[in-house]
Amino acid sequence: MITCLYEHEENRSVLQARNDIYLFLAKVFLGEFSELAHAAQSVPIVLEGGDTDLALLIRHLKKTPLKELKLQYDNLLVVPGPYFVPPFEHYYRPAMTAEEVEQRIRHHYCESGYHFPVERLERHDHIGCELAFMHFLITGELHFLRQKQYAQAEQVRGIQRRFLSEHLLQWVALFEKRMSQTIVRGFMRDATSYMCRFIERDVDGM
Amino acid sequence: MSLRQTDKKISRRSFLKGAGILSAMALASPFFTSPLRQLKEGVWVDKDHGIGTSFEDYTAQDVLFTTCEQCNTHCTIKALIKPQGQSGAYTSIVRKIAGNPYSPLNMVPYGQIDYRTKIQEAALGGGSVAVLGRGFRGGRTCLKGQAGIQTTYDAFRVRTPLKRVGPRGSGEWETISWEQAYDEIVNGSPDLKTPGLKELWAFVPEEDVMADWEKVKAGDLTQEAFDRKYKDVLIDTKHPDFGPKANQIACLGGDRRDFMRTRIWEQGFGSVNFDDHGGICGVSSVIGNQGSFEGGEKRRTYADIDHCEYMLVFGTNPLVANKGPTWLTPKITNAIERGMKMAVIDSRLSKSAEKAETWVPIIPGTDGALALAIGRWIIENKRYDQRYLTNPNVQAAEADGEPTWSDATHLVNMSDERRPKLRASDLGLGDEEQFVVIENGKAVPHDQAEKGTLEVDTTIDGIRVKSAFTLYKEAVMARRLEEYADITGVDVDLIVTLAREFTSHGKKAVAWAYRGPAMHTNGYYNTRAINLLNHLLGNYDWKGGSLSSGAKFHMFEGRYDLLTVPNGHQPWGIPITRKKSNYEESTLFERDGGYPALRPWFPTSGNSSHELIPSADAAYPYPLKALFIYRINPILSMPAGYKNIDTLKDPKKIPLLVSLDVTISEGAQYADYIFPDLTYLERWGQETIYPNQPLKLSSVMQPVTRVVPEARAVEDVFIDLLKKMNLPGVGKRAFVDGSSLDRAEDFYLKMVANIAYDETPVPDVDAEEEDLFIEARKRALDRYFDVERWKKAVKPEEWPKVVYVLNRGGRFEAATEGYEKDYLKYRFGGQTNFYDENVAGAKHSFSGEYFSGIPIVEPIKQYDGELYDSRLPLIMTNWKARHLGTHRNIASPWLREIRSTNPVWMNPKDAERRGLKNGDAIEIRSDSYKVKGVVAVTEGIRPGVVGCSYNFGHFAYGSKPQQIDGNWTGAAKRYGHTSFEFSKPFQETRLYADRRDTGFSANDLLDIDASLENNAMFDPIGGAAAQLYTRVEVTKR
Repeated sequence: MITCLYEHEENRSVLQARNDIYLFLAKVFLGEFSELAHAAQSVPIVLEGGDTDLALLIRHLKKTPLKELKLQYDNLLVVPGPYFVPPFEHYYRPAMTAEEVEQRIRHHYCESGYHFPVERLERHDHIGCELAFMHFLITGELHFLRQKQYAQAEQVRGIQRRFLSEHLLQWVALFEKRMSQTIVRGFMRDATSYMCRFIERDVDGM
Repeated sequence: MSLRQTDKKISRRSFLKGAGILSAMALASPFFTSPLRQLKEGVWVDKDHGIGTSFEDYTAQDVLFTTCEQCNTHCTIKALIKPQGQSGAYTSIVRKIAGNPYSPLNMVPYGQIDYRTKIQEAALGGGSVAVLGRGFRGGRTCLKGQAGIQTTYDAFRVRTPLKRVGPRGSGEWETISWEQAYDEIVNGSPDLKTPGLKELWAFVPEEDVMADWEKVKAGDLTQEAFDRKYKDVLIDTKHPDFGPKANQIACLGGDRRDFMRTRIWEQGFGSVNFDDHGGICGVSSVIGNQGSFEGGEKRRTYADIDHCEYMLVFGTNPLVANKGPTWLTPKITNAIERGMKMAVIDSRLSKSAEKAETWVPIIPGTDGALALAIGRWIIENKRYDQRYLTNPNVQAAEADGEPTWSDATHLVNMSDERRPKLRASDLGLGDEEQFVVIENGKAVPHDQAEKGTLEVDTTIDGIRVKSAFTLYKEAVMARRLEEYADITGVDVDLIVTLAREFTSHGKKAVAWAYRGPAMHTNGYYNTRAINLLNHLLGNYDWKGGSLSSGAKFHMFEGRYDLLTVPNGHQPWGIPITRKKSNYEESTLFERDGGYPALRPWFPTSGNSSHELIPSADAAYPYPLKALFIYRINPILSMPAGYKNIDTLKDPKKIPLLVSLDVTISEGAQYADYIFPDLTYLERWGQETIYPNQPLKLSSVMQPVTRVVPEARAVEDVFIDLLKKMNLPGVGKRAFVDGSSLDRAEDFYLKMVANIAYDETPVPDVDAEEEDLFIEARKRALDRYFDVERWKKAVKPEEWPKVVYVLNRGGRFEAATEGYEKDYLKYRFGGQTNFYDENVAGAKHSFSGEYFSGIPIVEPIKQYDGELYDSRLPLIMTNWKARHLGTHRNIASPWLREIRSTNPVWMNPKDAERRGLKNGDAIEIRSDSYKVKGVVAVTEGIRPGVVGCSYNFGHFAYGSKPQQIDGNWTGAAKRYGHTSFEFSKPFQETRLYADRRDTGFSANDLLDIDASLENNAMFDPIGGAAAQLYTRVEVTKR
């Protein structure tokens, strides 16, 4: 399996980048703004000036008051009021019951020993949990690569591929559409837009 | 700032290139250890939950005995605590709840340990299960009881006094101090515009007012002068019978009723408007029982299960509900093992019906008709105990060896439209206390006859009379068995089988009912008809017969008279629910032109609490000014409770609304103020269980932990409020002996002294036990335990006995002391009544017609007497879930894991007609409401009937977020597994539990009574809400 070894080594940096993005997005969609805002302050201006979407988001994060970020998050993703954008997969997949969606997701989580939603008291199909799951899997893949356990790394990569195509890809565009219809501008809208486009590209790259 | 929308072509690699910025942010990953454990280790490892890996022993200092309040059984329990000391907000963590081994309730079938057993031994227990057949580490308690830990450490406990921000129901709150809360309750809130109690409250004695009112009616005093004199203290000077303005301050309370109703509301405020759950808890069964037994003291009937040979169980599920599976389930299953036969009359195959010899799937609401059918067969076949029935008095009964006697031979005056029992004074034979019977063809006072004549229909001195037995016989013979079969859906053969079996065991057969038959519009008659089956056997007070007596140690008298308030108010006036009130005697009868009244009146029932909020809505008979609610859910628990929401939200209808609650419940969320109450594991209390034991027992609820520092017991809140208003019943000289009431324990420790000294006093505690008592409470309660303060609540000589009782969680008689030869030791020993003259003399407030003193067959009716006429084809009933005793149990993830929703049971025949299969999503529609659910297709329910458990449908209680001081509380979510290690109170972690808002409220489906418009149907005699019957249709979604 020399070729496998080569390919994995080459992709290590790619994997790390993906891992960081999923972690960042997970924290955004789990509303961990205190940590995000604090961490954003440590980003050097030289990096912040980059013309990537992510850099724009970081600048956004640094400039928006924490209270405003929290208010946006609460109104959009927590409170079932007029601005509620359900952050749950089952909502966007009417062909299946919530129970069915949950069971399918739980299968992936159990397969890999992912208990994060349990510890966080979140629904399994919450966008933040699904993004954190991707980060969890990539962390594992990196771990196996470091241990030169290539078969396990490949196994984890397979779970990523299936989870992306069977779940995240199936609903984030609808989620993004609803978000853009609900809020005209703001960090959460931009973050959602970024997340949606990143996932579409990530699937392509898998 | 907005992201570019032109980057659709950006590649994945471009995305990843930009990610370098994130490495500078150095976000912490939650997955820094052991990722992908299963893939690595290849097996399912569940170390996170600690199952089977953590063992920890305890000492007697970690054990306290108290009383459970997860449901209204009030089992006696043992709490194992782990002290936390000063390190956290909570004083200790309750690690485990088991049964109290001193108590007979929790040690069936082995029997409780000797009450004299030292606490050091009882707390630790011991003994080998293998050798002794039982262990002593704690008695039984049910799943709900064990989950009580999660009630106390609920993540959504109210932590501080809350004041609403914005309109009622906005879900926005601000935290305030207790001082501010008290000030605004007493003096009013300028910003909320709520009135204060000082402004609302006024009291004047009844005698003064009514003496002047008589002068007004006689023309000796002008109305204007009367108005001037009383306008500031009476609700309405044109209707002084409404009483003082204090009556406009009402309370809906759930427990601690002796303290709250008698001391605070009645004698403190002088208000008649304290109501509890009775109106939604089958009060009709209480009224039916009181009407069946002379004296009105006997409120419940049970069977002596240990020696009974045949039980006819009407509409109750004792293996799950009733007064608790903890003791009823082992008693009944052991009795079945012994050979007892049981028939369960229930439209669904309940857990009890599963264990029965016969399941009788009756049409809901026709239990009384079935009992009358059985009565007919018994009379036709002379299978009743004639010897018992002809005993007209106590002497005759004693001569026959009968502990009780009946009024079967007593005569009823049919010439008087009120149809009272004939009195000896009516015939010049004696006084008004004496009834009349026929003996040897002559009328004689009942207490002078040896044997009365059972069947009488004659005229004496121009007075038409019939015996009570004759009236009953006429009632049962009014229909043929075939007609009864049509009404009840029970075949004639089965009716005969039940009747024959019931009358084949002498005194050792019992007809037993609880709330099921009573929670219908004909609930009173149902209860009475079932009771009269026991009358026919005369099985009361017999070993194996009907258990009658309330065997308990006196709590409120003895060493201390706790319920008499020196200089307390004497409440008077018409309650807003019109309980125990005659329309005809009120000033409204004339104002409103006689019949019909504008709303129902309840001359024969002492509880119609479901009418409180609808009456406030209608401002009838007068407007309400303030409502305090604690430990009762006026929305989910009330019939069609959603109709109450608009009233609760409207400050014009209830200007001041205060809720005292452990979480923000459905009712609390509409309040002006929410005060954090203590849970039952944190406070004092008292609820001796009903007379369902052949032993004497009195349990004590006492604090075993403290979780929310700012929370205060309801009693303490009202002690403070009444002090601020200078009202009697609290503070200095609050008790008859001159002692003070400053904290709840001042009351409850005296109560324990009463228990300790009743009859033969308990022993004094020894020094070792007292040390243990103090140490255990220091560990459990820390700064909330002040032993010197507790000691001052009682006299020095009482303290050692008080500690003795507290150490044992109450006082319990030994199991062997329940019988005397063939009789129960604690007996009713009185007169059983076929005829209820109190009900016979009362009138319906719409029709003006008299009720019947003999149980009759009555269909389901609206209050105006119209038949309940829905074209919807299915009868819907409901029941208590086996894992949720009350709506508040939804707070427990353990319990929610057991069953996450309330599927609607439906017979396969009904399902097939509707194209439904098991698990289908459905819509259930009554004429007033519709809900969504799922169907459970089962042969275990009668065709034409559907039903479900009622304990679901929350839309508050932690199921929806609230905003407190601008921060969202979040809401309990799905999933999670309760941590084995209870190291994190206020956390709700669980894996399998569903959310709190699953399922639907069965009470919402109850049809609105068309003659009332804002309340569902109820029993006009007993007063109970008819919560077990509505018509629905079910369709596939």
